Amino acid sequence: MADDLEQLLRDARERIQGASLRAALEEARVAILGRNAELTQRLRGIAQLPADQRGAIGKRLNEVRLQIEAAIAEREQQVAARELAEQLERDRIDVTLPGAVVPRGGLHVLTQTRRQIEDIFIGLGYQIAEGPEIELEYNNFTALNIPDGHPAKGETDTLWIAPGVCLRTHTSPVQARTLRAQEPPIYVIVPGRVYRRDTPDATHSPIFHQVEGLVVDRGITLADLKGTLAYFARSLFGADRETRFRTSFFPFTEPSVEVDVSCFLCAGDGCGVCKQSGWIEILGAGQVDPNVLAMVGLDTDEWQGFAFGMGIERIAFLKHGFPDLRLLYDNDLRFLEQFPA
Amino acid sequence: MKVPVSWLRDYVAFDLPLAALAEKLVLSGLEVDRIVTRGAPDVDGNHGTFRIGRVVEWARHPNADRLRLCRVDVGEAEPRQIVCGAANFDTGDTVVVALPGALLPGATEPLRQAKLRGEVSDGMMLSERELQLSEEHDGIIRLPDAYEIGSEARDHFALAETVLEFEVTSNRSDLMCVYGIAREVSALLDVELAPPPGALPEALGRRPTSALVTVSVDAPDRCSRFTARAFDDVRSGGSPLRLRQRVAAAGMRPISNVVDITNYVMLGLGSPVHAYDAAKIPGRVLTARLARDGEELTTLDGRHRVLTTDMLVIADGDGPNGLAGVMGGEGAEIGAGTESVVIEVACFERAGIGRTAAALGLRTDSANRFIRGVDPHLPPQASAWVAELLVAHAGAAMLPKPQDVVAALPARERVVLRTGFAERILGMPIGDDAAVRILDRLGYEPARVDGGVETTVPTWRQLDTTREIDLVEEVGRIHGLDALPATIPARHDRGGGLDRAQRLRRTAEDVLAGAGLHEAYTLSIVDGDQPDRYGLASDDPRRAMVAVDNPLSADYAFMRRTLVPGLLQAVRRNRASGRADVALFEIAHLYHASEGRVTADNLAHEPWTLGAVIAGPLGGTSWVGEGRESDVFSARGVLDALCGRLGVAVRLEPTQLAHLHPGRAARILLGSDAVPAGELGELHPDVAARFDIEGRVAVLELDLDLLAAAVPDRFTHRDISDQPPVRQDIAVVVANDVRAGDVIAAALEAGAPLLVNAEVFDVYRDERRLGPGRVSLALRLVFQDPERTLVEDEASAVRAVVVQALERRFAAELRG
Ligand SMILES: [Zn+2]
Repeated sequence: MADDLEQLLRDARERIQGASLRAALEEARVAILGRNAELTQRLRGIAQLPADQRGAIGKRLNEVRLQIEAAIAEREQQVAARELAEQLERDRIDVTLPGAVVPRGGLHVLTQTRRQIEDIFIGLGYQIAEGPEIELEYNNFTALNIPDGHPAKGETDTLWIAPGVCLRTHTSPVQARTLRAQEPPIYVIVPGRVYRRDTPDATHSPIFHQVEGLVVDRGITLADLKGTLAYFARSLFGADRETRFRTSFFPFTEPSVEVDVSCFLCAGDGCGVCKQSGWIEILGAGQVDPNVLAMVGLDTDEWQGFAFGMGIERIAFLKHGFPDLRLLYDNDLRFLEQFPA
Repeated sequence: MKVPVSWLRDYVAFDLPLAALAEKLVLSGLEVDRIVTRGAPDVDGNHGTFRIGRVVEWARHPNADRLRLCRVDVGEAEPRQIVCGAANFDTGDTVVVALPGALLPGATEPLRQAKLRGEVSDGMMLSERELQLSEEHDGIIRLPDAYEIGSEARDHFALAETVLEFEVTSNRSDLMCVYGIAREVSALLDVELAPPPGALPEALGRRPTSALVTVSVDAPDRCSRFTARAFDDVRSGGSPLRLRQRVAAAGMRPISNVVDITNYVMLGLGSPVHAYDAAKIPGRVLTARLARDGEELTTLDGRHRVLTTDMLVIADGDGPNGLAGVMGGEGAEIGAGTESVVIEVACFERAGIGRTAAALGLRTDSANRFIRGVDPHLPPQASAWVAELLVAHAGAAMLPKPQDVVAALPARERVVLRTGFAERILGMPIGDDAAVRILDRLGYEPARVDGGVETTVPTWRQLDTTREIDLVEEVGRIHGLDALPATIPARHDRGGGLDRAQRLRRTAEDVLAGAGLHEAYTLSIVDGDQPDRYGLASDDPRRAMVAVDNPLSADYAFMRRTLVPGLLQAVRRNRASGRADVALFEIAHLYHASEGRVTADNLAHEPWTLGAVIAGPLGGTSWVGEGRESDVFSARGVLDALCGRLGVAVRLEPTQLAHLHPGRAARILLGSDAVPAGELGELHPDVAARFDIEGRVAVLELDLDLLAAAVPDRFTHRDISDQPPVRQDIAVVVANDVRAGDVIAAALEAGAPLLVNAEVFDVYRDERRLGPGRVSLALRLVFQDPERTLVEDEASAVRAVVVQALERRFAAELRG
């Protein structure tokens, strides 16, 4: 009887081990543990056994059943693992193939540059002011202390729309608008599109973009302008950049300066971009001319300020080195995609 | 402005290296373009190998007709034999000789003793061009007899000259001369400045100036000063080598002693000078007056010019003799036969000279200086210097009683500079002593007063320094801006950052780029044919564009009213380079004005606008599959992405627009108020063909100001319901002119509040099964009660209400 049972267990184990597919294993389970299987019959027969044998035989039979169930479970795991391994092997693919189509767009290099400039000044607490492109002659020239007869006002430099109305030649008229609209302290920058009567070529465009800056507050000095622009240049071009002021002339600032940053390509040794000087001109600036402040009724002994202006195209050119301004407005994707971020 | 350094050193002494001086000048406001050295290299005693020589005898070269065999005394025991190709000299002439070993300008090898056609040449006689003194090369240099034979040439003129080339800003007329730049150097280096050049010689003439000329001014607002001197016994000829050399180095062509002297004085002092042959002044009068209608003149450049009544002329008894301040006339040109000369030094009004020069295209050195402004105190000084030089170099006799017609000269302004104010503006300490020292060097005649310095503005700065702030700049730039500390204003009382509209605009840029579109920048000035090319209807308001009054060309003549044509142009360009998928957007201003009319009282409305075009499969193709071909729903998808991101409800209303596909165009309505804010659709095939674009092109144009206005001011929190939603699908058959958008709206209205969402998930057409003109819309309905769990039966009850409503409103039939 006992040997008999041991044999059954051995046979069952053998059959289970022999099943290598899920279906075969299921078949084996039915054959060994199913309703008509010998083990099942025997378990059912326990009730007919004499009472003194029931305990021992029943216990033994149940042990065998549990052992078989454990063997099946173990074998199931093995079979599943192998089947998964085979499935994964069948899935093997060249993962270096290109991916599914996800449309890829991007921001224009001028927008990226404009945002970079804006964000640096926003970090210093500035706001962004805006104004119209079709602008009053008064705001574009007169309010900025640019006299009648100045060459910039002529037919050759300015695009005129109507008497007293032109396409703004710089973002500076927003200075005048801001000064009228807002009480100091004023800390603004003004990005925008401007116009000149220039034939398009590699370095000229009838349309280009500037960022103007204007600060009016108590106790604003030329040294404040220098510190602000040095911070700007380092933020934009790298922490090692030096900044220098050269005296210059603009009608709406006095003193006026042009601002150079030490060349970031040659570190000051001289190269083509800095014309061997080690310095690159990045913008014009100065202390707001008292005439400009007085025109909006500010007491120039109480309020001082500075202003600066730069070309976004020029900054973008310095950062990316494209050879021709017109590339910016051709919108050739082969160009646009070169500046993903 | 080109300044020979030797000339500069006539007025100011310095031993700073030139590069260091240039840097100081640059930082103080005088841009140095280039530093150029001309002439023989000044290395290893090279300059000592150039000698003054005398031609002892010459004969034709035995083997070459065009060469001369010369014996030239250079102060040695024996004359040297030199072969020379020039023919402009004779025995006894004084010449410049380069000895063997000399390194000539531009040469890489020194000169050697050589055999030329069999004859030894032991040196070289030089022309001005060979020495880079000027462009003159018609023969060798012939010097006056006074030069000592055998002396070194460098004792008499500069064998090498370094020239500083400056860019002078428009406000600094005083820097348009060597003396003015010397004054800057004197201030920057704090060294003495020599008195201005020009010592008036004694008048020797037998007759007064008026015997040759009488000057007058008929247009005092155009001519504030007119001075004249006259000279007899003028020996016309070449000017001294040193003078020729400087005139050439400063960028002008040496011509003759009289003309060179006038140019030399203009370059040196900044006051233009004009010389007349006194015999060629009919009527012996010179009058500054406006030209009369129809008057004509041949100017010194040989060009015949018709004058206008805005042009100032210097007229003689017969009519215009020259163009005042711009260019003289041919009639009174100095020539070889000139014996008596009249010298005009005058001051003309700036803008008038500017108009005349521009009208005639004549930006002469004289005109350039008058346009910037010439110091009205300067003419007597310049005139004295001309006289000194004419007497010295042309043997002239100056006539007594010169003439000077002058309006009241402007009074010199007194300006007080408070040192404390300067320090407050600059943000660095200056001190009274430094302020006084700087202003003194610059000619402001400073005097200390309480708290600062009182100055008298120099006559040459009356145009640009009239106020205290101007003196702040003077003191700051000479003191040195490199000494400025770098500080950042400390401010605490105002917020910063982007405002709402600016923030939303950035979001829009990011959404569009994220949706796969590239941002483009197209030109905002367009040609007048753009509305036709884009196919706008004849009554489309966008045809009324603001015009530019003085366009550069017809291509840049109008301010655009739509962004799409520029983007289509960009699509064409990209398609031409072989790119199938082109998706572009632009965010920019448009320019609205009723009937395109803008006035100073009524400027244009310039809304921020989004334009987008999508052509070809968005994202291109991959082996995995293709991007979706573009059509009206590509534009709709982009619009939904944008409005969804900004929390703005959007509705489309089918419409007809001439430039868009008649069956695939819609007006965009935003927000609960359904504000019309733009249009989308597919480009009309005729328009696409005009832009050479094949296939469907999705187009979207939207007013971003209106979009920003539709964005809710605040997004406030709502509780998220954990109650599970119940989803049920229905399919309804409707006539195919029923709009899906209306069906959805009606369903949501009928199913409220338990029906929280309804979406079309399938559209099915089949004439055989649905009947002609019918379409089946499959809708997914989502029911939810935020408070409790819905059971299917409750959802079904609401669904029945929805179906009833659709049957009633659209004659819809429930399918299946
Ligand atoms: Zn460099």
